[in-house]
Amino acid sequence: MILATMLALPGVALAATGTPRQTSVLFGDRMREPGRRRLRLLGFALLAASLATTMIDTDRARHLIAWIATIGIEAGLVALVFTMRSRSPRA
Amino acid sequence: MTWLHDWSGLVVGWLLFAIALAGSLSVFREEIGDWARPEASCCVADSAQAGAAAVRWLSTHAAGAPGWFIQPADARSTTSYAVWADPKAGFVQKWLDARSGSPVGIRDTLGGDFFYRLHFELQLPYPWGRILSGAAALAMLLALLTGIVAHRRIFVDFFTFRPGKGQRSWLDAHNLLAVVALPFHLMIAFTGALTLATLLMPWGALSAYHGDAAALSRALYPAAIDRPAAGRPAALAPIEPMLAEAERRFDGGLYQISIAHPGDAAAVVTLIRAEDARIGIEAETVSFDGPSGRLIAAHDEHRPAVATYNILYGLHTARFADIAIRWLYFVSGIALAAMIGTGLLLWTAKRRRDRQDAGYLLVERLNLGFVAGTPIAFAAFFLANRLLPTGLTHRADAEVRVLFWTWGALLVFAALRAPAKAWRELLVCGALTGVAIPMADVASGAAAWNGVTVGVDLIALIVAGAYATAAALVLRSARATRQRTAS
Amino acid sequence: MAARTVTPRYRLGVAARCAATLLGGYGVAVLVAIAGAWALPMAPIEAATTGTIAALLVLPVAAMGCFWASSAARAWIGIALFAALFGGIALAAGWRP
Repeated sequence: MILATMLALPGVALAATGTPRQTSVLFGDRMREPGRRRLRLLGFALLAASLATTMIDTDRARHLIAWIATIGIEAGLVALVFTMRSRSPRA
Repeated sequence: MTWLHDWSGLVVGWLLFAIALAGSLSVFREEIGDWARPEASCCVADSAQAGAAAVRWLSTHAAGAPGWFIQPADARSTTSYAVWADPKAGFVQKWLDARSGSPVGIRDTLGGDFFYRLHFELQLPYPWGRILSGAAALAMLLALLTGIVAHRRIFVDFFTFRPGKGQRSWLDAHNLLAVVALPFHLMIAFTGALTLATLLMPWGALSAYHGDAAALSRALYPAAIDRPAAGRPAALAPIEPMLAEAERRFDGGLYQISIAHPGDAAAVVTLIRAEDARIGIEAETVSFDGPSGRLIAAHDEHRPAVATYNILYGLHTARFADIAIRWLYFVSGIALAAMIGTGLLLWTAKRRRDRQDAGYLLVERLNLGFVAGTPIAFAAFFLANRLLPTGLTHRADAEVRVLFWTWGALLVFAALRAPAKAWRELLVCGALTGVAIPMADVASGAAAWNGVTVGVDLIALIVAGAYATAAALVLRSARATRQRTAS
Repeated sequence: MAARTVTPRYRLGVAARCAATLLGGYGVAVLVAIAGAWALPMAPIEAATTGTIAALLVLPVAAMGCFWASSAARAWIGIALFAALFGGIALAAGWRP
């Protein structure tokens, strides 16, 4: 489960980085598709790997439930991090 | 679909907000119960011992009852729960010390069970509360599905949150809270309705059994032997060997001990397995003949459809959950409540500039009372548990009354006070109430340096912090508005 | 539906769709449960449980259908068709109301 979480966090972060809005937050106009798409795919691949590690154990059902919930929380945290980075200065 | 989402969400929004909050607290029903009953001794050996102690106490104090239902203490709770029908007093429920089996010396409180029952019975008489909460669960499922359809750029905008932009920020927050825990929200809404299926959709099962509810019950629970009393008294055989045999078969814990017609020759002891890695409720049941202790029925649920129903039920009640999953359920439940709250506030934010009609005013006042007020009312329950004298008669009812009077007062306040001022005042009130809980805990001498106390007090402080932050933001934006209009 | 003027006819249409959802949708769900209980080739308790779970899923879907239909009349026609379908399956499997 710990391995799953460790894989999932960069997975979520990369998947987030690959979305148009967050890419422009980080890279401005310097990165567009297909660069963004590669980041997204890498992120999702890590998430798939993370999911696979939860299935190694015998207690699969509980690990799956915990994994789904943890992904959500990690996604929320990543979203908040991007929010703070993208905060535009007050006019 | 957006129209349907808005209206199905609005109609049940305030009710669902309260249900989601109470439900989230119910995840920690036993821990809150432990916090609320500091007199109960800690760290019971195991459920079999607690169950045996409870049965001993009931044999002397509830001998005439037609049946006893006991949920023995486990690793998470310091008390066993017992309920029986008293010929004079109706249903009586007591929390028995895990070691001694006696309720004496433990303060009279509903503890976490109050929030558990509130979230599906809504403090209304049977069956109306359950039907209403079941309907609300279905409405929530509808709101979720229509919300998904309405959220066009759900993947592209997955991580989007733009603060400080008024209505846009409320929408982003609503979407984000929905999307990050979407599997949980869908699951909890659907399984919530499913747990009430016997009230919402009994027609299929009843028609298949030609209206014979007893036959239906026998088919669903083959090992729950239901036989009439023989009318001849007979002592109950020692319960410990029965519990040990059940634990051996179940490979683990006991969820429920029910004894039909104790003290009668036809007594039946039915034991239900506690949920674990199998997730589903009532995965295994055994029944013993009361006077002899002989095994008369055993059932291991493997029928596909019934097992599916049990697993879905188990996903909702989360009794299988270990501490990590329990916290994940709690956080997801709070996200659900926050999603509902932001949705309600978004409704008024959209209409604030141009469409302030009677409906808007009503929604605005209800939002204020429910979204700001419900957590404060719930906090009042915790305060009452610490501050009311322990010897008070009908103390459990008094705690509940404190909660409802506080809730009522806040709703009336919200209805009468100007929203701009009322938001500030209620948010500050919430922060103060949250801080008061750990203070009352320490002041009453009940606080102990254990996980339960730290957990409850910490959450109270976090909630107080959230209220204080919200108050600060509201005050700052009010000051900015005043400066803008003044200059 | 945002910029439409709210005429009595509009309100009647909405009310008709709500009735289709609440009464008709629930009715169709009940028939789904009964049809499942009678027609599915499993033990009675299994069929009844499956039918009940399916019926609960039908409820929000029926609601979405009633409001997705291009008119309230079509919503009611849809309800009637599905009621006939599942009622027919139940009757064919031996159910008598």
